[in-house]
Amino acid sequence: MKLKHLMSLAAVCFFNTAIADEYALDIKGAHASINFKVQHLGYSWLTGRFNTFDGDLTYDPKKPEASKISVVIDTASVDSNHARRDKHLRSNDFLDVKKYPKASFESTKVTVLDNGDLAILGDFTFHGVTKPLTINASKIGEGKSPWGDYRVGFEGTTSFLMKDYGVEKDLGPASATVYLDLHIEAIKK
Amino acid sequence: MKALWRNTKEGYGALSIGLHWLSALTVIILLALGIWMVDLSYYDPWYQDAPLIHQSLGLLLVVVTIVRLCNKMLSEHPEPLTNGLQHYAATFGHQLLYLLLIGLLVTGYVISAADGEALWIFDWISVPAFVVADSDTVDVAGTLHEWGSYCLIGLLVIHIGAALYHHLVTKDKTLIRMVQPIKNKK
Repeated sequence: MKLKHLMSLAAVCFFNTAIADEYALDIKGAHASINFKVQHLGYSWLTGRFNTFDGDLTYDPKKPEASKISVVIDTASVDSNHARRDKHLRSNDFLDVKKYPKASFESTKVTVLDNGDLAILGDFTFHGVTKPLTINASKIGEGKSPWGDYRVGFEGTTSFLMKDYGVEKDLGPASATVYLDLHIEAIKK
Repeated sequence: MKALWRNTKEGYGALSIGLHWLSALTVIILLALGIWMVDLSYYDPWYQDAPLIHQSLGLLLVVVTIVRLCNKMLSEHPEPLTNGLQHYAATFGHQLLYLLLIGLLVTGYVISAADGEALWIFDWISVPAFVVADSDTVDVAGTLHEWGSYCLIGLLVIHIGAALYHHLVTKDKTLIRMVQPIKNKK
């Protein structure tokens, strides 16, 4: 009886880890992008992206609230399509990439919303400061690719105030918030 | 007696003197402009124009410096007024000034050309971006440009101090001959 108990416990444990499939972001094929936008003077949007990052996620379509994701961004890879602005963004006025070469997001809790979207709460580390941040995400699709692997894709948005993370450079009242547009495709490991 | 354009063993001609003071004026404006402009707020009316003026003056200084170095190589060098250790220190100081100046011009160009688009000397002349550096190189160029400028300011203080020392303490012609071109004795 005791042994049977243990075995079923082990089975549950095994089952739990087995159903939440592990995925890696498709970095090689560049089917993932981390884009940002900030208002310029309050008159338009300035957009850019981070070219280098990596991450993993676990996902079970039957149990999305058990999903996990972690992403690490190489801050020096910031690209706003203007080399001299990028130099300024890398400087200690903004990203301070020498001091803070990495930014990261590590999910802590996933909530399924009424419309099926996911609210991904996690620890966001940016400019050396770690604070909780919620990414509103939705699944785009999943299935076999024509090349023999299995893929899932999400999009997500979030935003944060630069000064909450110790970036004090003042770009004006309309430009205090950074909006992130995230698009990821991940391949099952 | 007519002022000479070219240097002789006795002193500097008008060309060397003119190039020296044109350089001096431009360098001082560039240093002051550079220190002032990097701390301008995003909403300052000069935020866009000050760096453009800095870049334009810098490119003009490249032209002046090339002419100046050619003139230095092709001209006669007046006899030194000092000797021994003081002469070696002066020569070393002057070479360091040239080295820093060239270093600042090169790093300034690398930073300005990073977008791969032509640079403008005001609205007059466009200069192609010959070198398009990657982001790491641009960041290193920026750091070198900043610290090179501080070193140049320090060295200029010594340079000006030495000139005044010659003029006021040892009362020789070191400063005078950089102001008055040598005259034809015939």
